[in-house]
Amino acid sequence: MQNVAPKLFSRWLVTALFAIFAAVAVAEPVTVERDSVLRAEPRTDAGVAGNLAKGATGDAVARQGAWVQVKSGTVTGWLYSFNVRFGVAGVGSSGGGGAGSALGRVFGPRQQVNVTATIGIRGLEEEDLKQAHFDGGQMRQLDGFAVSSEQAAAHAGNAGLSASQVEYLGQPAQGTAGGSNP
Amino acid sequence: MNVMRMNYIRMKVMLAHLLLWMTAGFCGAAQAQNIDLNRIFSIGRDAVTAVAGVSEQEEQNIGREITGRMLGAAPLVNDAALQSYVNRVGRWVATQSERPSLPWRFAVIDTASINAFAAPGGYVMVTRGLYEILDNEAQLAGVLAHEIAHIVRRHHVTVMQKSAALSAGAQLAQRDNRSALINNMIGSGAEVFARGLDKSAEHEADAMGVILAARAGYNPFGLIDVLHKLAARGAADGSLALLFKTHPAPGDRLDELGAALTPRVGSLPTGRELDIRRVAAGAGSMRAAQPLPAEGARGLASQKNEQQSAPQSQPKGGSAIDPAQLLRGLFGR
Repeated sequence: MQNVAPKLFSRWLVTALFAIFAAVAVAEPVTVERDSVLRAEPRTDAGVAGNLAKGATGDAVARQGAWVQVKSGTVTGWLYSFNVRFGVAGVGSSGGGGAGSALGRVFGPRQQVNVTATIGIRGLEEEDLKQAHFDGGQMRQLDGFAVSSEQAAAHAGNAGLSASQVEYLGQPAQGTAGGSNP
Repeated sequence: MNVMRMNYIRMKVMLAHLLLWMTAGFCGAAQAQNIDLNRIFSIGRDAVTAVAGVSEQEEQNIGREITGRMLGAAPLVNDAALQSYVNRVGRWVATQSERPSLPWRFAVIDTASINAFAAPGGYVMVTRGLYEILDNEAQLAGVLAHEIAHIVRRHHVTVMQKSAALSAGAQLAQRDNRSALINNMIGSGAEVFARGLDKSAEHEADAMGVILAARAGYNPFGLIDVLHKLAARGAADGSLALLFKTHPAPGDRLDELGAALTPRVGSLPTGRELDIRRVAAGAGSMRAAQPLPAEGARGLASQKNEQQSAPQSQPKGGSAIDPAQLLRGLFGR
């Protein structure tokens, strides 16, 4: 019993911190990619909260699964994330905010603290690939890291993941999923 | 019906012989070098079948060769726990595919470029640059699932077959040398990764990747999150140069995925996102965990290290809050 109070407090503290963090930091500029109906909740059968036309801009304030909550002017509502593009005024890849637009807030909490990549960095280039030579030692290391499907299933199970049958897109609802249950 | 078909085939064979005779007649080489024309004819046929039918074993050999060359250009990140972790996630997703029994290998390779690669036969590589922009395990699963889909659908094999078929002349000399034929398919170095695939192959891998991740129990939209990140960084980002060269623009990929997903998106399972986990390299791995380089340049040491045996909280739909995890997220790790 004595352990419960600190635990509860810590939960409360975390929830409070989370709320503050969410209110202050979670806002990411977005551009609406196509005319969209905004829903009051992140569900297709939720009430209509408003409409945004293609090209409208706003802020993404929350995200849940496939949904992103956008605030644009006086309208706030949920739409599918693939119907928006993140970044100021830039639509698609032509705009973009470079490395600075980290999407670390809506997509957080993991920040890009480790990323050294910036504009102009020289990474793996075509010429490196053309001239690459086989490295047997590296291949042996790679083989050493391989796991069996049983080991992978155990690792997934530890995190509460379980396999389910989901048909590929564009296919009828009946068919094989090809998956195996752990 | 069959008779007509037989006659048709016979006619084609005769025509082919005639063509060969005419060619030989024009260049005069046949008599001079005493070449058996029947043999030449069968060489041509064999070369075509050889390119058309790449066995699974050959597919693995090709993949192994290309992967070894890629690792020659960009070695494994020197972090055994990380490599073990990525293999566990990747193998779990691959188990949900139509080719669960391939000898799947997954790797994080040490380059700041943001990219991921699939080689035939079950080899998947993610760059350190890409790994570092991932927020959660569902995004990792989504990226790996896209690459797994390329392998399941043999996209790279098809591309290599096409390019090898273009040099049919070279194949005539390779009739008795299967490895020469395979080398002809692979080309030089790991250049196959610089060539890229058809746009349709990339869109197919995206659509399959979303579903493979869903089958594995992850939030299906991890791949979409990553595409958003790529789109927001834009083509001007040097670390994305090769990826932008070899793939359709991320915005176009989001458009295609959105169109494919729209009829189904409401009925897909919610799945879990899960924090990026780390596992002790041990079970299933031949090596003990290695320390990171002192300069910390690999940049992966700061992540949370979660022991596999640690008790797991049971989040509902991946949304429950673990205080310790969240504090780490807020205040850095």
